[in-house]
Amino acid sequence: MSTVAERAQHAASLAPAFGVYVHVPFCPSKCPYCDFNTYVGLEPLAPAYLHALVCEAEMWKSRHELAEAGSYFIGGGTPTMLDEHLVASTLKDLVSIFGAAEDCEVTVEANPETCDASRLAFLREAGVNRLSIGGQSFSNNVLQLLGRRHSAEATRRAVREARAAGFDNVSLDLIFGMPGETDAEWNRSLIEAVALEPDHISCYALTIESGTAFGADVAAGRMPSPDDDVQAVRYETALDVLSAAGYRHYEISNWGLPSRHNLIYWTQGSYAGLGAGAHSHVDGVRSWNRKNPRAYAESPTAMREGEERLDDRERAVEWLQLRLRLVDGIDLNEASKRMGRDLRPAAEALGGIVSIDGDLMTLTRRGLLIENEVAIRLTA
Amino acid sequence: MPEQHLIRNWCVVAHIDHGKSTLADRILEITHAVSQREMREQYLDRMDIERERGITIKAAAVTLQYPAKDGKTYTFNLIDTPGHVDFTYEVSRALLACEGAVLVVDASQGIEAQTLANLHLALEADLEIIPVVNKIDLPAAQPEKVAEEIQQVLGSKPEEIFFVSGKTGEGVEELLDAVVRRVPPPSGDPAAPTRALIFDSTYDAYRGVISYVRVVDGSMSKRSSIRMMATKAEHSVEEIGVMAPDQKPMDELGAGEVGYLISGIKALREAQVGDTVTDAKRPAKEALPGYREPKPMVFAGLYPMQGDDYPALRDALDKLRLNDAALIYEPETSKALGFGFRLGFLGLLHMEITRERLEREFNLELVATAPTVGYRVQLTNGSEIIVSNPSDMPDPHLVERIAEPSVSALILSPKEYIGTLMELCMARRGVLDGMHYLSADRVELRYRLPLSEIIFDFFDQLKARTRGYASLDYEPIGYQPADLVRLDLLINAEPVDAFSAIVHREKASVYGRNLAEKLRELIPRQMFDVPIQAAIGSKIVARETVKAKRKDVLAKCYGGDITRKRKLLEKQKEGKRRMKQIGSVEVPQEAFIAALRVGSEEK
Repeated sequence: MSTVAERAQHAASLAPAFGVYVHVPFCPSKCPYCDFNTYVGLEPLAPAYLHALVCEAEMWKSRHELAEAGSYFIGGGTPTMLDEHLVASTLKDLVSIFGAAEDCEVTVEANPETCDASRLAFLREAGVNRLSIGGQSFSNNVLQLLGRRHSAEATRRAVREARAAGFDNVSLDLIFGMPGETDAEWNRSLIEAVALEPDHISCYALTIESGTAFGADVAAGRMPSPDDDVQAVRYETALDVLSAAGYRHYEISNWGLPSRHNLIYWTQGSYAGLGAGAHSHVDGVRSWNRKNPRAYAESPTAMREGEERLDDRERAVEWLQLRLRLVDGIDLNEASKRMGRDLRPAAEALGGIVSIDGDLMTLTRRGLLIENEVAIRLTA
Repeated sequence: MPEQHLIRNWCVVAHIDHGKSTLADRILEITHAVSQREMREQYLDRMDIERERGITIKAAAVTLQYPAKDGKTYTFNLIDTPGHVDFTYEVSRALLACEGAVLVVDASQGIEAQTLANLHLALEADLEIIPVVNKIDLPAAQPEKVAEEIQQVLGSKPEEIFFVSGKTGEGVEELLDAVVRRVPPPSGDPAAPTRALIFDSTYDAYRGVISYVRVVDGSMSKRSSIRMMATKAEHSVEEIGVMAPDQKPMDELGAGEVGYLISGIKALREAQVGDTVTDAKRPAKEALPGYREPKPMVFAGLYPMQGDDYPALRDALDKLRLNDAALIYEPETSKALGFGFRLGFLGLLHMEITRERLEREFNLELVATAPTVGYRVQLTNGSEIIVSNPSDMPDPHLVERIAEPSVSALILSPKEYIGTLMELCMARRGVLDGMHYLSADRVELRYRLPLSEIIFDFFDQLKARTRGYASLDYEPIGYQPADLVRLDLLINAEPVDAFSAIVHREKASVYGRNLAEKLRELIPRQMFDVPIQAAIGSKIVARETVKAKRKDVLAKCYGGDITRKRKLLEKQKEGKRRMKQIGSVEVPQEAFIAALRVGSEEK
């Protein structure tokens, strides 16, 4: 029997001391729900952009005392649409700057249609040891509604190719609650995802962001907003199907072998974000780059758009807001100490939404769905 | 001092938007009262709200010199009257200061309800009426048709009607000559004890109260001692003069003259509209007839959005009362809304304006409860109380009977809308008092209606059902017994006093259902199911449930953009702070506002 503090630390303890996020802002097409900093048709910029990433990395290294990198996450965008040789050599340069711990997790995000066997094999050879595939759904109908260009079959093939290329850590992203998706379609997506035996599964509720094509459609009444109740039911389905299949639920939207890189985010850890629009958290300062990739390629070390240093109180609030997402729970003693007040009464007022076992507070099934509300109430 | 036979005291009366203020602008120009440089639109409307809304709230008087065709120069005292049903009493006082009225009718709109209402007031005040068809420059003008309506209503001869354009100035000089010829000069007794009628008072932060007066008998001079005959207040005249159009001090105002008076009075309550000013040393025996205390008709609770603004709201009301004698208020506590005030208003417009001024001039954020009327409640123990707050309505077993204020409403409309208007009035418990044709296609309807039924959205409904063609005017006609009940609203099983309402028994269930349904839409989902119930006594007449919130955000927090997530949560926290906490339920501001618009009609 482990202690409360140990249980609360379980997933969190897997977070490396320092990680590197690399933003690749190129995509073959813009998905209508996506509000990330990505661009279509900018690929000619790639060589200059990748070179700029290395310059920015050197800047970080020269200005800060950084621990050896325990994770790299090359995301975007669609990193796998770039020439894999370029990606591999960039990774090599970054590792020579930030180092790589022995058990370093190196993730590349991939769209199914870009996962051909030779490319994946090359990346695996170059040190990438985790592949995160944006499958989103196993219903071709839903994929079409989501504006995705690939089929369910492409996702199945991509996972097989990844395995063949030697990836023993494959993650699959799914999106639920697209208006037009049925309960049955979501159920099938989960079952098919599980059948592929990925090591990790992420399930996100479709969220309509302003500034996206869907945002405009909803505002103009051309598309209904996703239904909260429907999404709640879908999420609960995911909880049931994935736990029945043996996936460990460790973060609100994530199951399976934890992504150690993402754990850095939830534990207020340190990371350097390289690239246009990338966010960093180093030496207690959160900072972010301007979004324009062209400007970035030209002067990567003069891109900082903003930064903030939180005071102790803000930092404690943020810690709690983030840590609530980790399913292992929160040690109420530690949380109260950080917040400077006893959180127990506020937590106890949330009966049915959190459960308290000694000093360990965890979100209940209902609580997982309204984690924002819980975070607000505990930190108000 | 002008001789009485060279004075003409007159006013312009019109329905809203019939061009009264623009016509006044032209008259100021023609008489050179205002130089071209100083001229601006709606010169006589001094308050910002008046200009924005295009209505006159305060009366204003201006003294003009007009060289007439007969070679003599006449002194015109032109009195601008308020243009809204809330201020009927003020209008009637302003009319009493005149001998003649120019009745302005829009050449494209024809006679409207307010035209008639004002005409009746002018006839009651025994004024010479000069009918005018205005806006003849408009493409849609039908001056002949409108002239026929006027003949029908007034019995005027065709040649007695003038055709003008306030915009271009066409016909305005001819009109002024007619004023000279037709409006009789004042006929007061210059030797009698002084009697002057206050037809409006305003408050100036530097000079105190400025009263606009018409000297009827005798005269008033600087430094003389005066007495207000109703309030008995005595003061010494500090300054006296005419508005030309800005204040021009004089030594004396004689019988028949119109001007302003400043006498060190610090609050409008002491210089009430309708009161008679007399000489303190040689007082008149009788005051001029018709004075009455301002009587609030509509009541509402006003609460600061932020509880700590209560003292600021109190100070603001104290200041506002200095220049609004009709405003009354007293502290009130609501279980739901905390500390606030119950205010009495002359009518809905007065309420809106007051609220707007409080928010704008004093920078306050306010929650207003649904407006209500004052009910006369006869208790079983024989006593009678006035209930102006629904939550003060005693339990049914203590109530012998309830009477509610009613009004006589005058509605003018093209005849094709009679059916829909009658439906509307019937749904509002109206009783038809009379109907007659103004012309072949325009009809005048008279209805007796409970005031409570028209203070919500009656006017909007009237306009909507008639594509804007119908017009409305009304006057209070006392109390009528009615079968009324108090409807309470319970959120999460707790009655919320701010949502209580007094409604007719037959309509209570529908009202309750509509209110509960509206609140279900407006109250955001909470962490638990929130029942919303409407009840009459202990009987639940409607029930809705705000289902518990199932999910908030399950979105991807991408690429370590933690700042965005934190800001989103901060924003949500701020949103919560802006809600009123009722028990354990968070109720947004809009819910209180929307409750004002809930009707008692089936949907």
